[in-house]
Amino acid sequence: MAFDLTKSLERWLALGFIHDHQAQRIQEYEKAHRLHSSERSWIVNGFVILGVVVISIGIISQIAAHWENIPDWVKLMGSFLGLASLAGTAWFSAEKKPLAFDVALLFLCALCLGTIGLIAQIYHTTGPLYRLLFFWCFITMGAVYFARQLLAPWLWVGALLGGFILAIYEAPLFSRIEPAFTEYPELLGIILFFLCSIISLINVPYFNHNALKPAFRAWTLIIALGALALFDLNPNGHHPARFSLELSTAIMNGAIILYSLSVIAFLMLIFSQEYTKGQKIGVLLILLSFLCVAHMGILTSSDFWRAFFTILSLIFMAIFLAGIDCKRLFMLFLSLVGLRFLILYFQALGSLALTGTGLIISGFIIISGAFLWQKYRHFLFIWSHNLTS
Amino acid sequence: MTVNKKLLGAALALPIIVLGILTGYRQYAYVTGQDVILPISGYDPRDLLSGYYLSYKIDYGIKDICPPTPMPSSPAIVCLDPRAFVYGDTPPKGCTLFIRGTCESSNFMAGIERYYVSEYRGSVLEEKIQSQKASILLSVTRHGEALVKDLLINGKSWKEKSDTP
Repeated sequence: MAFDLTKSLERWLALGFIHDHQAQRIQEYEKAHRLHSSERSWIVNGFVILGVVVISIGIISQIAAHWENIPDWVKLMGSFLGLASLAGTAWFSAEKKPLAFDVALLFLCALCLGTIGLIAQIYHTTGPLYRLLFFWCFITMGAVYFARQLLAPWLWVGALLGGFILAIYEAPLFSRIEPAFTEYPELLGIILFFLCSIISLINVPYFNHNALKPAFRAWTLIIALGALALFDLNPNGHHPARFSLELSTAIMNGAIILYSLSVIAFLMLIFSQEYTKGQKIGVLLILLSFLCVAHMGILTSSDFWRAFFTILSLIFMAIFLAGIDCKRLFMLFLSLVGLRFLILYFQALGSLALTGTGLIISGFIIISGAFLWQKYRHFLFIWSHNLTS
Repeated sequence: MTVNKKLLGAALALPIIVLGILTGYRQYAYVTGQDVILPISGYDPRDLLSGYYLSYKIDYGIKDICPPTPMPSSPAIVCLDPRAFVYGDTPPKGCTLFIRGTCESSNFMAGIERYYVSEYRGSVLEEKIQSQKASILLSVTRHGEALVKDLLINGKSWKEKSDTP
């Protein structure tokens, strides 16, 4: 049981063991002593951490320097011992030490990747990167499922999506539809966006209380922003007649079916979830504006319309995020809206902005934007929140 | 926080078991496969060593390997006894020893086109492969999987050769 000095002093004062000035002096002394000891422990801990890091780097350097001389079986044994130790650490810290548990899981996942590389090195095998990523995702799936911090699941979902993208372009399985994705990479952006959204919206009991769902949500936002940037700023996407390769009807039909199914699944999920009416309308507007930006490159070469729908899409996303109480993300999206407005200004008045007058006007716009942002961001958040709740 | 210990145990054991099986399988193929020696050549002398891996092209002794197809990547089989090449997953009739792989841009790839070397010996080995007769010693299983056992310079292990000046 922890010793509470303040309570003890109060009790001793009440009992008449000590006087007020003595109590005050004791408190002052203890306060100064505690500060000193915490400072000392911080310094000692700092040096201990530094020492451990230096020793670790030394061990790694020694292993690297003598890597060629270490027998293969020793390398494999070391790797498997490391895996077993990390699994053991995770097992014993699962209930009482959450931080140690998550760190052990993260290192376990990293060492799994290292061990796959080691096996490939020892047996001189090679293969496509997507296969490595899928294999790693498969063996670490369970470990990541139990993670409570976002980092390991976020990396895992990133590897899964990376594997999926590479497989589309490299795997023999997708070789028939691969030309559609090469000619029209926006299609991949749309499919990944819907795929991640659908997974992050699925309401399955086993999937609701771990960090995998937030990881998918984080990737949905990253993909949404990446896809919007690709649709909006891709210089090859401006041309309405940019399809140099004649795609067969079967490829296009396949792509359109896949695309439509993902959109329908997304809508069905959104409308089956317990969202408010405002949020559902918000999602529908995000979807429509997102699809408008994605197809604008085919319909028109106008910079204005692409910029218009990108800004609209970002505004709808920001409002939706405010509605679900994501204040920081709301701020991020709002600042991206401001940034896109600035890019639009430079796109529209590029030659003017290069002159002295243009630069002065640009400077004023940036300062005014920053001022308005500082003044009205909280008001906008509350307004957006009320709009969708 | 309560955790389902059985599920957690299974989740933590899965990567160790799977990687253990993979290692065991590789070792089994390495030990039980049939030894085959095939000549190799560096396909791009300017970039023979990529990282710590020596990349090379294997000469299977078949003239029309990976003829053009509309597909960018297709599964294929190289028969070593007798020498033949076919697209698909089934080896040709009468083939007693074969390697499975894929045809990518007119190249037959079986996952054995790289050999790990240390950065210290890399340049020496690269020079030897350019100037002397190089080949690889493979272990080929009856299911068509191949593993590289050694790199040979003039018929001897490169490790023996690099020790002598």
